Amino acid sequence: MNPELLIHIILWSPLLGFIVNGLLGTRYNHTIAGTIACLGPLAGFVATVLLYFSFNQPISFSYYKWFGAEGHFNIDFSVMVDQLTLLMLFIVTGVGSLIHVYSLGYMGHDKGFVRFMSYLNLFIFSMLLLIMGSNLVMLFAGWEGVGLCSFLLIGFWFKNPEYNKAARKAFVMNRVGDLGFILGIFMMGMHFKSLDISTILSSLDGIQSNDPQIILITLLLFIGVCGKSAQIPLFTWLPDAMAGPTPVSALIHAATMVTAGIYLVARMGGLYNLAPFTLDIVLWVGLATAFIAATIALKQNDIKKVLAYSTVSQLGYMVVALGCAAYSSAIFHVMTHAFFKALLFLGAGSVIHGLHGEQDLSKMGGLKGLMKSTHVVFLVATLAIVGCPPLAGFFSKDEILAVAFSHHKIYFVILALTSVFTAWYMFRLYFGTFQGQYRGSEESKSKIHESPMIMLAPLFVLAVLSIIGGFAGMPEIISQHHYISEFLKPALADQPHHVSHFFEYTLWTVTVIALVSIVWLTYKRYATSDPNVFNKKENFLGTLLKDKYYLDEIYQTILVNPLKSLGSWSKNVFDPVVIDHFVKLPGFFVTEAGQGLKPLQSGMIGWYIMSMTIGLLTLIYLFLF
Amino acid sequence: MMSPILILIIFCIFTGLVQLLAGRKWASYIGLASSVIGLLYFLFLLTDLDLQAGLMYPLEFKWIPGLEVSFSLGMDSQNLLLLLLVFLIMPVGQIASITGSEQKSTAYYCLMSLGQAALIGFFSAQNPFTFYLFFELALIPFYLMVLMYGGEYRRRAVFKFFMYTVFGSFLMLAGIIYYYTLLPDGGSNVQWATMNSMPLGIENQYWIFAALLIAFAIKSPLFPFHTWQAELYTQGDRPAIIIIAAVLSKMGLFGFIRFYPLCADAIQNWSYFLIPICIAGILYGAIVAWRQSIMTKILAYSSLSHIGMIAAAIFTGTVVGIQGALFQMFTHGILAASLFYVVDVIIRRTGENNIYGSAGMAKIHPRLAVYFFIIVLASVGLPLTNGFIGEFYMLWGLTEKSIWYGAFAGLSIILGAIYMLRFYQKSMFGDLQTEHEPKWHKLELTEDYVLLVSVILILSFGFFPATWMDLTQQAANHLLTK
Repeated sequence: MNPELLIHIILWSPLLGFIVNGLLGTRYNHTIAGTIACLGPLAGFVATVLLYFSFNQPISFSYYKWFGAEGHFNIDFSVMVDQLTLLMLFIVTGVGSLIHVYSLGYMGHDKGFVRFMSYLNLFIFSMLLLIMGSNLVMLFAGWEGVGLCSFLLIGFWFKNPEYNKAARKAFVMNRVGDLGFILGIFMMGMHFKSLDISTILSSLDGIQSNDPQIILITLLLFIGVCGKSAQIPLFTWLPDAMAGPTPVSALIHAATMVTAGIYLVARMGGLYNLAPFTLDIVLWVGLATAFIAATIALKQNDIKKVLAYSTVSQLGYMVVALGCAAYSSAIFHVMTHAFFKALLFLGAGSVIHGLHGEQDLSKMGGLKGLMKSTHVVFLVATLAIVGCPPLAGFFSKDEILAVAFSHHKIYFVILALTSVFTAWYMFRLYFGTFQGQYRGSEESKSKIHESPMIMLAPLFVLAVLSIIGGFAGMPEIISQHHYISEFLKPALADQPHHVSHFFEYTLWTVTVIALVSIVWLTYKRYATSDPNVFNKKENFLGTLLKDKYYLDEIYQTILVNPLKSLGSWSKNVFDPVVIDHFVKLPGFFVTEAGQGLKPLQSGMIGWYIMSMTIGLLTLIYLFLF
Repeated sequence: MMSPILILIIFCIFTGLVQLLAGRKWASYIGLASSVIGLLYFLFLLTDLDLQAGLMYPLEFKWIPGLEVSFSLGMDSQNLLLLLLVFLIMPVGQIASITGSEQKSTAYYCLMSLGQAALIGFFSAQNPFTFYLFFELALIPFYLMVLMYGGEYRRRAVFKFFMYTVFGSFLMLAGIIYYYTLLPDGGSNVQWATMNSMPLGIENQYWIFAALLIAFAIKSPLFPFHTWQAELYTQGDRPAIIIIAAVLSKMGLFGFIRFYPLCADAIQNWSYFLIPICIAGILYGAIVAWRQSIMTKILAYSSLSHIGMIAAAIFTGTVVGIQGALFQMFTHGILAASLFYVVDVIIRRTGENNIYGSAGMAKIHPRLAVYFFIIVLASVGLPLTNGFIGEFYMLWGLTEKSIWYGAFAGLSIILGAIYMLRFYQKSMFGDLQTEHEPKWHKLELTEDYVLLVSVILILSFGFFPATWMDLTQQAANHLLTK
């Protein structure tokens, strides 16, 4: 089939779904609305598969001229599909379709079902703009669009003020990043005289390494990445974003939207290679985020919060890979992470659904007998994320660890420690939920049910992908072909990395030993019937972690509150007292003078107007004729 | 043939006269019909728009023979969007005044038509004196309208407004007269288009610009000359406020555009002082808007913030910045009118001008909530809405001047999201304040259409701004060539 036609289908079918359901969705029943909504990303997925088979070189074309200023910038509404885009398309439409189907079950009884599904469609469309945009402004449009959908879906149950607050927080923190991003776009436009991605990337010859302009541009873009991909210091919105319905957490806040930042840096890899200074900062931000988020996850009791911090931490891994200029490794982890993290969230959603809204780990336990299918897929996902060989997470994480090692041993040490924490909090979560004894009330136990097939089917698909997904990128000690990095090679600007075979073997051995011991330790501890294990009194460090290093409180105290006070002071003091004081000085004299002229005003406005109108017409008559 | 612009002005005055004679019952409908006819006629004029031709539909005649001052109107690339804005907004004001709960007098409707005539004259004025004439004329009908109807304390608010603007007007008149005395032939031939060819010495530029700056800063308003605004917007008659917030707030900014060639050097020399003040105003307006709970005051301070950005973009003296400013003047007009209209729709149902008064309205009026949301998104500059385009150009222009300008002015995209989303969520979401379902009547058809049209404008100018941006580029290039 004609590749351009396929691209039209991929891009526009989700938008069509949004428009149809948005305008007419309430006129027909949920089944029809749900089907229309699912058709959008499904059509996109099928078209992506077809596109993949007919793909031989990057395609780009323009729909129309969006806006421009001659001599400064010229922005087309244009799309581009290369290898990187194609891989992202598989993730977005594939995982997107699965989550749409899952939502039919999860949200089926909600009054806002149609609204929910149409937001999901709009999200997919925005995400597609983001990954298919051929210039930075198109990318930015998608970037803000996904932020908007995230806002809408976090605050989906809008009667709850807390949810509204979380939605606002997400949008605003993203906007902090967006400011950096758009300033980066401006600087790039002025520097390269173009905002077209491929034009910029092909005009990099002759620029010196660590050119100050390039450093500035890459740093500004990275601020945007910190906002969208939840890196320090802008990550605190993501855990709060879990207020949204669980499919949203899976799709937007784990599998797709939050990886947009990773995509951006990988896309602009050629530029980042010219700024080793920025890459160092990227690397350290990634390390710090991975480590800090993992430590917080150790002490959380809300299953979605654990997964949220885990997402932040995994995003940190990807950013570390970016910082090492190993862009394909980062994208590989984006892919495997999309599989297993979506699975974890959807599995958690299945648990929450089965437990009628319960999210507290201390009130779960022993669910393996009650929710057999969910238990199995959740276990698969847990093994995948902790990096158990040969599941998906093992290969992608192993690659990042190796890349970090080849840069500096200290990076490796921090990441390895983070991996230990990852395994700990994930098995704590798994054992706490599915093993041991049920810790809730007897009454609630009788109501627990396994989720319907429409929710389980997507879970099975994701479980299979979590198992085999890693084989697409096996290290050279096993296979000659690292399929992902070979496929992405023309689109990315990877710098080479080498680690010895000895290192690889050692790493694997240590991984397996560490995992076995962590499993044993966490099993002893958390496969229990005692809810106090999860609620015990913490020492200083434990409290610090449980309360998330008080970051929210710190931001509130040093940023939000002073601004609020300044606003209130301006409103109550500066405007009415300071400024108006000066205004009233001349006013006073005029009021006095006005007293004398008062009799001239009869007060009959109608009379004034009548004379004014006639006067005007007379004047015009006199001038014209 | 008579100039179509003059036809439109006379048509509006004539409408006013007919309204006076027609009596209360018909006056409102005549006004609405005439504003719609005006819009259609203007759109018809746009169909054979030829931008290469320079000044379109010119009209000029001697005015005050002894002083060599002439009266001159016409349409060009700089005023086209603003004239379009006038014709788009007037029907909204008319509709709002008809659907309002208060019975309004014949005089009121007549004033609205006269106001339109003056605004058309103002934006199409082609020389400083005509500009000044209509600058003053346009104010009178609106003074009277807000004086006739509105809140309890409207007299105080209008008095403050009056004091401010009279002060500014005197300075402006002085500046313009001084300018005319400097011209070799007493200014009989001066036109915006030829202003470039008669440069002034820098000293004279300073004096003239200083006078104009204060006049326009008051009229816009710019920080710190804004304290009349929130009070007037809250107390004034709302249909009149819709027009004031959408169109009259552009008069000062448009003055900066028109007089730019005259004072270019002065503006550039002072820009290191002017732009930071504007940026201070952007941020000041935003944080005050965040702390307000009165809807009209939130909009007033949000306007202060947006207008500050437009002024800053003009002062950059960059092509892109001025393009953004011109487009944003139009966009902000559409958005300010839409937002005030939404507020009007809400207040007519709840009777409260407080953001908490309408909590939970999204449940009862989902369509209103959707329209409102799209308008909010445009006003925070989301891509693919019209608000993004202007903001992109303006911030580009500011960044071109200095990245610090871009960064600090850009803070408004964060603060804007904070106060607008707060405004939206508090007024639409949450739980109903009252126990029983309030009897907020349905969204009327006219209200629905007005909001629908505004959403269509938002999206169409967001998706397809290219033609208009070419127009603004022509305007900006013309403004900046020496």
